[in-house]
Amino acid sequence: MSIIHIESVSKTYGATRALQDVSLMLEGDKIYGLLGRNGAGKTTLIKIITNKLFADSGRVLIDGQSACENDRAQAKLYCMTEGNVHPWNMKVREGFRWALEFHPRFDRDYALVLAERFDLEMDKQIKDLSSGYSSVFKLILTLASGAPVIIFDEPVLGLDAAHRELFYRELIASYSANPRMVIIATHLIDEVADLLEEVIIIKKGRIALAEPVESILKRAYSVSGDSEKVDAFSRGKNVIHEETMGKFKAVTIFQQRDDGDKARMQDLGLELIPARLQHVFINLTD
Amino acid sequence: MGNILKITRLNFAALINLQVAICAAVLLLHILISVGVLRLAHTTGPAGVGDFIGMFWILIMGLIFFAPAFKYTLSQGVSRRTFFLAGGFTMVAMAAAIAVVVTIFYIINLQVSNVWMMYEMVYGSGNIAGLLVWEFAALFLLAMLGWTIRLIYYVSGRTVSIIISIAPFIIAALLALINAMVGGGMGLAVLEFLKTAMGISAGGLNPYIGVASMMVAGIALALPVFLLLRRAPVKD
Repeated sequence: MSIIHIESVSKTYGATRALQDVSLMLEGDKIYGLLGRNGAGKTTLIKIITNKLFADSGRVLIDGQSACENDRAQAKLYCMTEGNVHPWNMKVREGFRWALEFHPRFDRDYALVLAERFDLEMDKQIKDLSSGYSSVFKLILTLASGAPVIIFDEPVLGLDAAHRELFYRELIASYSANPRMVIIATHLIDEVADLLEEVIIIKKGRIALAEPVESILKRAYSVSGDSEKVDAFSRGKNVIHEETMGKFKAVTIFQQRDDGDKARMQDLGLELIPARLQHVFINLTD
Repeated sequence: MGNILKITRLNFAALINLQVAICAAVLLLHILISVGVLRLAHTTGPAGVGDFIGMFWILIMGLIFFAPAFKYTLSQGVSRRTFFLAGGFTMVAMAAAIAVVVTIFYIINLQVSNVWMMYEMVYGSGNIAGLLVWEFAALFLLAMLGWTIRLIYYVSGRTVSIIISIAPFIIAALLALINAMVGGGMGLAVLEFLKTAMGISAGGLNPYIGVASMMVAGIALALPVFLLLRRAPVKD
């Protein structure tokens, strides 16, 4: 079981403050969602965790060891990045071979199975892969890496619907067979919402929320019914989403519900329905 | 040590093996062309540029190997310190490979043609071991120089890059001006220093002094490389 401890990390690019005093504790075999809009600071945080960038202040510890310039700590991570990191004229097959060189736990057989499922051409040069297949190649490397912590930065960019579906299926299957810490950083919240166990929402370089999905869902709920009655109920509450169809209205509220709310809903004849995670997350990242 | 050797092997497999092979082919082609030129011109030569090709090649390889290797290896969880050691190892191995190619070229050249060799012109011909060691030292220095130049540009912003590009010309012009103002004494001093450092003094020719000087200069370049590398970000 791995622990990533981020302590007061800040990073600026010129006048832009990409991360501001970010502190987090990621612990255990869970699927974390690192959610935020484009430019929120997700990739910067990942780059600092994976030693590609240096924080201006603060530090990152992996299982108690500094993540900075530490081969042993970094060997516990495998990160899928947006860009292609493979050099020169390396072919897909060679990419797998070199992954095994640097990551002794890399499961080459599993990678080959995944390559077949995704129809990835093994003898194609990595730089010649389409953006979708380039993502597929990197997803396979990450899934098969065998690292105790795997990080996906915008994993489904360029993937078609069938490949996205297949990726999510394989991720769940791989996670079930081999539980580990999985961090998915994305702005495509609706697609990953149902996979996540814990959510970290990053907004303008600051952590806006870091909670288990379960605890978020306890605070979020939807109410539907007659438009005027829904308005009456939701007045003064933290409404994060609303949909209206004629006289019918549904709102999502992100606020602790008490017994009085329940009774009032019954009095007004409103229906209580579970909140859709994506509505909650999208609102929190806005 | 494991990662250092892996990175060195990766550098060779992904770039250097092919480039050494191309360099060897170019040198071979160069011999063929020089044989043809000497016969057509009815002269004994020398013709061509010989080991200069290997030197040019390794400078370019020192320039180009860094960015892709750095990005890939750091993505595999390797630290900058390990990459630095592996890079130094790669430079040594690359210089040795090209030095062997150049020496083989020289041996073939002795049999069939008369190509101009920098070593031969300075220290005289016939000493194969001396040539091999001298070429290795020169190639190592140039490889390190290429790596240093690339790193300076890599870590610099656009404005600094432009300043760095222009600075050598301005400094050279200023030095020439100062040299003229002191009656050429500075230029003579530099020339004497270089001659001494390369083992070309009035007392005789000693290529091994040149070898030692170039190795020291190459190793000295490791310091700016390390200082630049230790805070270098991985760029997309």
